[in-house]
Amino acid sequence: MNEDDLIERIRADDPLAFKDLFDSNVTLVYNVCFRMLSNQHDAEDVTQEVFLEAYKSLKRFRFESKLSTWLYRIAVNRSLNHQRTKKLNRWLFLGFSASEVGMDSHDFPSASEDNPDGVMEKKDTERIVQKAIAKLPERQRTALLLHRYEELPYQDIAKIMNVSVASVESLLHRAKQTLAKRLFPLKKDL
Amino acid sequence: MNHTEIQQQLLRYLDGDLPDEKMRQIREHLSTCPICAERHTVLASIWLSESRLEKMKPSPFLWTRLQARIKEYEQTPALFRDLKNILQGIHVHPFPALAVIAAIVVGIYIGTPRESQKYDLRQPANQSSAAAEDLGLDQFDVIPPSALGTTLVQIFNTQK
Repeated sequence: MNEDDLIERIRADDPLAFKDLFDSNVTLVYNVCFRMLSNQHDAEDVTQEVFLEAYKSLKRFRFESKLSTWLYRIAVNRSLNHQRTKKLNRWLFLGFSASEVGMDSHDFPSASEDNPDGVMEKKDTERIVQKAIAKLPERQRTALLLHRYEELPYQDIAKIMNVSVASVESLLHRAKQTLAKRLFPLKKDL
Repeated sequence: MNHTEIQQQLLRYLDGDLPDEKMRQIREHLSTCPICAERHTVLASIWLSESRLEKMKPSPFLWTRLQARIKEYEQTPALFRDLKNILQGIHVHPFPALAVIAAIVVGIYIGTPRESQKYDLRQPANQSSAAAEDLGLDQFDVIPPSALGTTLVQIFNTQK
């Protein structure tokens, strides 16, 4: 669906416009949340929050940026908030029910017993990468996820993160340096 | 560029997001250095094999659940909605909030002088003389207000 048409329909208070906005962006939002949170249930909860916030503030949206950029921004902020709350809870309750509140349980597809060796190794490799990315500082991780998995240009990442393009470059640079150091021993230990 | 610098740049080299000159330098280094070449091979097997474009599908019931949330939001009176938004904005967490309240209560309890009833300073002067004596305040009764400074110097010199 053309974004301009959708914007026109939203402005004209078309009751079906929000459903179309949801349909055309839900996969995008869900994947960002999933990459940020590494957990399907959390990603679905936060996706709901993102669209609820979009619904509440759609009338105030000035259409100066792309709808997708706006949704990306809400998704990133909501995911970070969710993660901070979880970390705080984990800290406060000293790791009680760690599997429930922790970030340790990555829901990325895992290697099962009936997988052929090659597939299993590939899945293990993916888990290694996700684990290493999850340990990056918040801003580096956000920039890397948007660049690597959403393939967004630096300008869009800068708008979403509310920083300059030079900052995005620097964040990506540092993220890749850190990963280059961390990934090698992890793979060697495999 | 030394080994460490080369190794730090390997992911950027794999993504091809380095200037041409640096790309050439690293390429040449990798062709002559077995240590960095091994690291390059291992990192390439991780970084390039990950299926990063695979998109996950959310639950098909997500829209239904969202609709229920929207309905609930629409039915909430505007005043409560605003209040809820403000509270959400502040990010009040019950546990830290209770901890702060408990700390204030304990602070007040500890800071309250429990001897206040023994030495009730609201009593008339003749009734509180025993208390004043206990505290050593009776010494000041004989000192005229204008000579307070001189007296203090005298006391200080005596103690010395």
